[in-house]
Amino acid sequence: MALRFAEWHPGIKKGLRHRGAIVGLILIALFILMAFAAPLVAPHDPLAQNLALRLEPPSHTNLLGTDDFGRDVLSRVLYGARISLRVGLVAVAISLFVGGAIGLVSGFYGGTLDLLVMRLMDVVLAFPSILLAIAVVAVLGPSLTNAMIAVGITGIPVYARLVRGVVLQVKSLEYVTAARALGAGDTWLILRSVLPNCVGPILVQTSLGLATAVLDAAGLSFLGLGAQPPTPEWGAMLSQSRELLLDAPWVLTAPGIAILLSVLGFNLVGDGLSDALDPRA
Amino acid sequence: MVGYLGRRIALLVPTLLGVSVLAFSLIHLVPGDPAAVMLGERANARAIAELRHELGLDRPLPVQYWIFLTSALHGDLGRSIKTREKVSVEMAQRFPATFELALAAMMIAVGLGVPFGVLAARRRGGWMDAMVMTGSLVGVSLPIFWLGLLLLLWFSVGVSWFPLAGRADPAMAVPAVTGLLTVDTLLAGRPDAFVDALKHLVLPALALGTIPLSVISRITRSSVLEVLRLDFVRTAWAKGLAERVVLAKHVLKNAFIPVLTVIGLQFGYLLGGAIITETIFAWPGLGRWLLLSVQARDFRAVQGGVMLVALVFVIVNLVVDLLYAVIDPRIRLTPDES
Repeated sequence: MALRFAEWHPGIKKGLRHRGAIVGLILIALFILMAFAAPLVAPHDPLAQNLALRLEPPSHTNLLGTDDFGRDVLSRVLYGARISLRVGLVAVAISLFVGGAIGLVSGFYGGTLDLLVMRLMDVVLAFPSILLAIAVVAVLGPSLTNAMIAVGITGIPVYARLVRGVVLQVKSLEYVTAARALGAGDTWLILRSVLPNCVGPILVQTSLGLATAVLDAAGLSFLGLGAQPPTPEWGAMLSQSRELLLDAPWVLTAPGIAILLSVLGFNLVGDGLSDALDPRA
Repeated sequence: MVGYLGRRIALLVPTLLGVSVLAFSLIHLVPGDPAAVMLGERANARAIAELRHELGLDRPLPVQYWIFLTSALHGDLGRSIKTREKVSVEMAQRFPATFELALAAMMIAVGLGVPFGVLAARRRGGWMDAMVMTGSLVGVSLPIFWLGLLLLLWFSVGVSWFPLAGRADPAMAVPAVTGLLTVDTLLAGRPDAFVDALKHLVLPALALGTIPLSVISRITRSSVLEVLRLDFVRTAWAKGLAERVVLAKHVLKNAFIPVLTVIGLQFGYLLGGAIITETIFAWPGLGRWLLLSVQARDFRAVQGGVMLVALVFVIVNLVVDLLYAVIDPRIRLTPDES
């Protein structure tokens, strides 16, 4: 199965020989493992408060110490992987499917529709992504779900432009003209000739997009606009650690490292794929 | 050049109109009665009705938009629901602080990023290259809210080199001329206040500048590598020119367009990143004000902030576009493809 997957796209095979991408894949694998294994390996309940053990430094029973409610930091960080993974996947899925569909249709049919849609995308791009996400959350109300939606919306124009670019390029190729002359319909053309050409750039963008989504969603939670306490979300944990800076610096170490490494993993894989798919390399 | 300028500005009109529609919709997309949401749970019916009237929510939608747009064009963005102060005045008071922070962050990012990128490209595959590439990857993956907290922990709590929060010591007040404290303190002839302002600025600017620094050093590296393999560079080497001359005069000048694009794009990031950075360092700027307005459900203020940031972002990108045209005449001479 793995071999078949590698043969399916030439870039993937090349990407697997990229050193940075391998490190990235390992980081992502660890991150996914953490998410799935959290209930099995977490030493404590991530929500269980123990006021007798408030702000305990790292010890045998609490390897990464405890927070101001006496909750085990290690268990919370492990469970946090589930939340960040879900946020990243859902947000990117929103951007990818909505943006991709917009780009496909807009690029394929062109004309006034294309012009209008692309101007609309320009408008969305006129906002820094975190500001747009904050505005969306301001309207919908702060919650983890709304943060996912907000981060997803900010990514839509990126995919729309990307896919549209590929569509325009492919549309003018001779074999597409030939297929059309042979009587191929729009759906067949989109599915068989246009979509496969989008796979490479979309893979790169999705990997980099996952990095941005995890980072932005954690940022929203840090600002109090995403996951709400007592959810063990990494950004929210950092936000709570702000007041503990003097008394319990260990509370802020682990969630920060977790965000850094998971985001780094997605960035490394994205970079590796982009190198591998670059025809000049 | 004038024709090019005109075309670029004309292209902005639909974008800015779209921005205004989006900002206008903010209030109307709130589920339920926006006036009731803004006033909170304990508001009575009369107060809600009054606010509805004040916001114009009792009028037809197109009329509301028209009023919103024409007043915005006159610089009137309504009054903050929380403070009753004019939104435009509130923003004008806070803008210089954010501008100073963003400028300082950008100076760090460009001042370090461009040399790092050139050094990395000069010895491709060498230790400097490996360091810059690794550093920039970690830099773009680093959550700035975490970096900000670490900087505070190490340099304010740990060794107390820098103050914990704010923009200046209240005892060091100087008359506001430009609104930029580092400039105003010098104008007032107060070196002690200047040092104080600078100390307050260092950590937030470092936190905010990290991502642009990483992005700029990466793009400089790849852009310089691209130019290094061109024929005219080989000729320059063959003429026996010093490395410094080749890099500065032949390579960097030609490699600068992509770098400039990224600098422009990063400005937009800085405006967004300022929201997080200002929150951590209690920096009294636009970003922190915007977040507080969101938390207070002060939609008039949020609307204004969103419009202003988008406007600044769009203008920065226009300036970048115009700079290209100055650097590379081919851009303004060939007609637009879009």
